[in-house]
Amino acid sequence: MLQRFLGRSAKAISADSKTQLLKSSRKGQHRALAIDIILCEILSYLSLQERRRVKLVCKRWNQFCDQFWRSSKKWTSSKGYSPECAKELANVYSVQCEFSKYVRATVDPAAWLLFWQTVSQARKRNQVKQLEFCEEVDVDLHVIPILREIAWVTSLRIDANVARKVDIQTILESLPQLRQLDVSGAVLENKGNNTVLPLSRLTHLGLDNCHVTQGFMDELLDCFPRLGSLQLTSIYMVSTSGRGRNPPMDILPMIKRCCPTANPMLDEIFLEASYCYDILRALLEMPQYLQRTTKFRYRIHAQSYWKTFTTVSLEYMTRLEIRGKYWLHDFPVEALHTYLCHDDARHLRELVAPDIFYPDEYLDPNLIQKKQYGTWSSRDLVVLQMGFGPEEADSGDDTKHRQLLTRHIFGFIVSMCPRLTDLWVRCKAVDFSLEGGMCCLTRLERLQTLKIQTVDMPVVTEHDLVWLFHRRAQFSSSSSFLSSPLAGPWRSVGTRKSIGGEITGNSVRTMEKVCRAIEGDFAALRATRPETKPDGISVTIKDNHAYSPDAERGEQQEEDWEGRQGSTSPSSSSWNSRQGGGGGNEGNHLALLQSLTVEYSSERYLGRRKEEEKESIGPVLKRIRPRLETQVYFCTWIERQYNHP
Amino acid sequence: MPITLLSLDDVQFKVDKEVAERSILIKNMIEDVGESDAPIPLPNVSSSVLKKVIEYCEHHRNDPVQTQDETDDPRKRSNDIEEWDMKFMMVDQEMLFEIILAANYLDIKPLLDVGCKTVANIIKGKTPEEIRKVFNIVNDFTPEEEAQIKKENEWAEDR
Repeated sequence: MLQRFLGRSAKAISADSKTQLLKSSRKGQHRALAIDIILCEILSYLSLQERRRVKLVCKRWNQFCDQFWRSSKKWTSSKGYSPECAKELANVYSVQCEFSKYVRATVDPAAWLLFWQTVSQARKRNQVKQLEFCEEVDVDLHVIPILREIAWVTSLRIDANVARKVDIQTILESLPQLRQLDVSGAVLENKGNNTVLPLSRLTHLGLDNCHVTQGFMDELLDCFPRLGSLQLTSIYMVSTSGRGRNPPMDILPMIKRCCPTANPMLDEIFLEASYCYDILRALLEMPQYLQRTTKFRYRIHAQSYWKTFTTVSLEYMTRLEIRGKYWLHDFPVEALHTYLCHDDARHLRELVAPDIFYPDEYLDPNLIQKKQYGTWSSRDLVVLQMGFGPEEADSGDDTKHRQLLTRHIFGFIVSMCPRLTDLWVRCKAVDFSLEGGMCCLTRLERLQTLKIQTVDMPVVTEHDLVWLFHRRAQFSSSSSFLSSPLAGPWRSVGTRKSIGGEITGNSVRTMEKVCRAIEGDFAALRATRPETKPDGISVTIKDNHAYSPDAERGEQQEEDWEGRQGSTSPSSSSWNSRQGGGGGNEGNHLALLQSLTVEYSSERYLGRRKEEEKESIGPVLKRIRPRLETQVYFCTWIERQYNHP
Repeated sequence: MPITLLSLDDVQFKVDKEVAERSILIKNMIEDVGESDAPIPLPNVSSSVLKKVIEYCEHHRNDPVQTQDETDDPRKRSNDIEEWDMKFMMVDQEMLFEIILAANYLDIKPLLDVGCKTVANIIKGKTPEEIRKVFNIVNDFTPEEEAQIKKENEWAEDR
């Protein structure tokens, strides 16, 4: 019995076996899971040191301890939940786990059901603590019967690729805490002609591509008195004579009731041009039903709709989303410009623009002059997301060209949209090394978030970094500050209440410097604002480029920069020397570190500076891992590589 | 009203409802099915184990139900077992693990906690070799693998 219980072969939780496990009978699944849960529970009472020791008992225990460690960080999966994730998930329940905001399930219902039962069971035992923070849970429609397992979910998204029947009544009744519901693509079932919906506290309802009845739409706003956001990207009306798209006027009675006196809570309606153009036009032609605060998010996919789009009065639109990629000669680019220069857009605050190739001419001052009658009525834009790119793939490689392009893009944006608080720019390459650098951005006095997404590493000068550093108090979100890895120097970014950042570096040396910089900043902030807290300080060390010529140059730049800034930082790069220095937390440059990931992408590179890396990272690991029990994540295969002589 | 529980080996146990409802599983079953005279089948629990579990539930029948917040302590301690519970858990290891499995199945969190703590206490302070001996676990590592794990652990040893 004991051997069966505690000494089961390590293969029991291998990926293959897990898949088999899922395929096996339900009873067998529960038994196997129960034993795994219990072993995890037992191990959870052991200290970190003890857990490390019991790794040596047998392969299974070793694997469990590893899994235990790994899952104690958090489980995130951009690919969603799939049978391949089962191995990871098998142990997620065993510890405090924090799911990503977005848990998606598109796999077979049996696996998903098993998963939710596991999670729910663990949740009852309080091992899963943070699932309440799941913002969205995508769940396959097949598993609606298990809704009662997740009665605590506050946000549910049912993502049906094909229209499948959903009983919205059951959902609302099963999930009393639900606040946000997205049933995109579903056919809403109604029992009889008039759906009787329970009164719900929903604040968001997404009905993209849904097939609904007239009765449902009529009843909608009465049943959801707290609805603040309604997503109607496209609606198919189901009539008694059959399914089909009804004339848009059919939902107008409902839309009319969106007016403030009828429904004061509803202030956002999300429509999509490709389907709802007629609805939108009808709606916007009836301004008496709308108030200025009502937000219309308008997303455009289909190119052909541009022409009609520009003829519509969009006086009340506050947010415009345009998706897709366009070339300069495409009509939408010019239409966009026309639109932005039009008085009608004076209430526009948020613009998500498409990727445009190629921007040079688009940003040509001569073109602007031609359209100067509007002088960009969108000067009040507060959120702008745009993408730019060269028409030809290799034309962006020229340094001078990049520099000019960068200046064009940012110069144009800054001069036309001086009130931006959020600016996201997607671009193949950004080079601020032309004289002046980022100085044009100083005109954006309200800027709180600056996100520059690039394929190549952006080139930022020392002056720009200093500027960013001094402006950091103004930035509300440090984590979204710069998303791209920087080859050059990096300083941490603090906000009024916290300090943090995501740093991707090429070497241990980078991490060392970053930690030192963050520590210095933190101490300085604490001196003036004692409430300052560290917030998500994470360092990722990748060696992907560590030994490429570019990275070598980057390292060199870093050295130089650090050397010049070095008055406040200790010059020694040895971890051991700092350990010896003592000085409590103030002198400990790793005290604030909350997450460290070390990734070695290639064994080939590892051999080259193995010894050097080992010398530098070994003491680091030794120092922080025991202390930051659940917050340090290492890729185990990397460690193994690393520890191999 | 007494509830009848039916064990794996078809032995019936009559217990008070409040005792039976220490098990969340049984509680949910009663709620779902409604009260009836029909015995509740527990096909994963043998009579000897069920007897012990009922003994535990009888003793703790008046304990307040643990809420989520009360147990929300990330620092898990295994040295806070009550004296009665400790004596209750003084059984052979076979029975101990059967009780834990049953507690897990029946969803009796306090009993599961006590069981896991008891096992954790057995493990604590022992070398891997001693643990293997106590639990009759076969060391399936090759000498190389064992050396590798030891080496991986080196950096983490206390300074």
